[in-house]
Amino acid sequence: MSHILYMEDDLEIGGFVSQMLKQRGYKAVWLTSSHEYEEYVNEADMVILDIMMPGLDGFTVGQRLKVLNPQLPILLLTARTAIEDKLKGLEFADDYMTKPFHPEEMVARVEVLLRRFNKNEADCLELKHLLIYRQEKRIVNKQTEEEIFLTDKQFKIFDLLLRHPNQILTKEQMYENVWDQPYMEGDKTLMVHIRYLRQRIEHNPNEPEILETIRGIGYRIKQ
Amino acid sequence: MNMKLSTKYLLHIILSVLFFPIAFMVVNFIYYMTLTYVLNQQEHIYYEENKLQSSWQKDIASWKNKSTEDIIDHLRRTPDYRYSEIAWISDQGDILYASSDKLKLPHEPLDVSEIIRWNEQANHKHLVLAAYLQGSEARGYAYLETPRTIIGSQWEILRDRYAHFWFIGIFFVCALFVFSSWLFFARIQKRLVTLQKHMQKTDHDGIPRNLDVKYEDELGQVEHSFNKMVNELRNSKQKESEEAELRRKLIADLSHDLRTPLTVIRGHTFMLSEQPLTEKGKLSVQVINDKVAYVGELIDNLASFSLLAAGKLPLNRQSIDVVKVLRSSLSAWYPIFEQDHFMVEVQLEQSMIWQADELWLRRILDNVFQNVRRHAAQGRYVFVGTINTASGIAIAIRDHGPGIHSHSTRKGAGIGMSIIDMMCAQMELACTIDSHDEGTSVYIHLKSGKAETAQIE
Repeated sequence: MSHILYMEDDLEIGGFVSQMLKQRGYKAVWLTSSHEYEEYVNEADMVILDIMMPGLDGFTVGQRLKVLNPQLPILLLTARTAIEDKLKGLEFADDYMTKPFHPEEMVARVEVLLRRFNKNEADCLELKHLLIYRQEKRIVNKQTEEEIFLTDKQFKIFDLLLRHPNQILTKEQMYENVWDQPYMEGDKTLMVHIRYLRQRIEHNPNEPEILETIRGIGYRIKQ
Repeated sequence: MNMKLSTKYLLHIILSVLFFPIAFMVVNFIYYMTLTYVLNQQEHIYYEENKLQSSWQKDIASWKNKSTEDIIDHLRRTPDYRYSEIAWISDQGDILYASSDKLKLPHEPLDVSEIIRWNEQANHKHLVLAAYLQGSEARGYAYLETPRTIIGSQWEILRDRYAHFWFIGIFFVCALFVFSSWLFFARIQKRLVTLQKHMQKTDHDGIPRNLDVKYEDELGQVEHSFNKMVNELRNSKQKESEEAELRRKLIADLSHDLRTPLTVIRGHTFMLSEQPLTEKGKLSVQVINDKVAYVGELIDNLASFSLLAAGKLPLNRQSIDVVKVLRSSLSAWYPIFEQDHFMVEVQLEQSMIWQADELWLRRILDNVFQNVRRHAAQGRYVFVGTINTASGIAIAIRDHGPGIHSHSTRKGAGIGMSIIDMMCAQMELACTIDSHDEGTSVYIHLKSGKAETAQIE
């Protein structure tokens, strides 16, 4: 069970969000101010922060937490929508959500963040006919029980998409993330790697079920 | 050094008025002192006119009735006539004696008119003395021609010889005066130019720096006034930025305070939707959710609009790849369109670089996509791409909705369009909209190149 530390001064919002998190099986600790957060932060797998609250504001708390533990995912959940606030927030936070939000979307983002930081207790991910052990970088075909071997680059591409489930990643984003170089328009390298990756993981690489192409935009893995 | 410029100028004029006679006297003094010195140092040849004349008359008288040979010998040997030319011409016009060839005329005998002309010509540069010399064998006029440069007192001769030094001295004094006048104005001009350059050079805050006032004259006063003006400008700019910050904070706080209750409403509708509800109840919950989202967008647009209208939204234009921004924006919007069963067609092949602010461009795209989603949901189609127009590449976003002018349950979203127009204008972009019953096309292109919708496709 993942521990979530949630700081929100509005009693009504705090009430339903923490209730919702508990319903979804998380252990949520809700604080109405940032006064005593240090007591709970060691147990937390993730922190959800409001920006305007009594005591230190969300920016300060978030920055301190990130310095102490860069591996702790932080989601800013705030009514501040100005672009400067978003930019300032995303300097340290891993996601930024503005109010009013759809509660289910919030839960989905929490799950994504936990997975990205490997905080999810499920160390095995099931995706169509695949069993994926991300920690061990091991993929098994459930039907044949054979292990699927991927090259370093192929695994990096696959893992990147797994860490951003249901999210479309553009060619630029993927190339820059995997190769650590700026993407040049018209470069076919990524496409070639995706083709080889599909040959390994898809039943029928010509009609991919796992790795979806969003024409003109990028790629996505739905989970 | 704290003298007024006008006083300085007056002083300069007075000095120069006094300067001329003084300078004149000084030049003369030096000149005469030098001449006296030269006079004492060197021997100079000079003949005073009357003395020469009387000695000539005396000599001529003493040679009377002597033989021609004797007379010529005397004429040749008399030391006083060493520097003069002598000619003795007989009554018949024959030259009896000439001290140099210059005096030997091309033909003899000479007539009286020729001799008179010769005399006149010589008179300018020479002193010509004529006397009738009667020898025992021949008689005629004897002429003594002495250069005027050695005629006069010793002092006169020396003064004439070195006169150019005096002119040089006077010229030098005049030049000195002209130079000092020029220097006076050149200094003023230099200060003016420095002042003007300083006024044009702005500091990091867009305001020129304070001047270092060195002289308390009229220009110094101008510099003081300039400093005062700069300080006032700086203060008002700071005040303005403080006010802008206050305003920004007010809008941010207001938007925050409005969003908090909306979030609560959203939370409650969600809890409601988890309860068993009738179909009518479910529809109501959906309508409330929809309206909550819409109010949220309106608050956002309103905040942006007021900042934009006041010019307080920071604009950071740089070279950006528009296609990259479009693709990234689409990656966020695609799932939303997918959820609403839109068919999304993307055609992003040409890369294009614009001078724009990425955040602003994203905001423009967000507003366009939001409009498509709100107003063109029934068309279930959206095209996003870059297309060639008559005058350059443009971003094109098309839908199959009922068009902007048709009835829509969400009129009043005009603020979103206003934001698009204002942002485009500030980034030197233009937004052209072509809307009819079968759909709406939005083209965003560089202002210089007008996208002619007729030629698109």
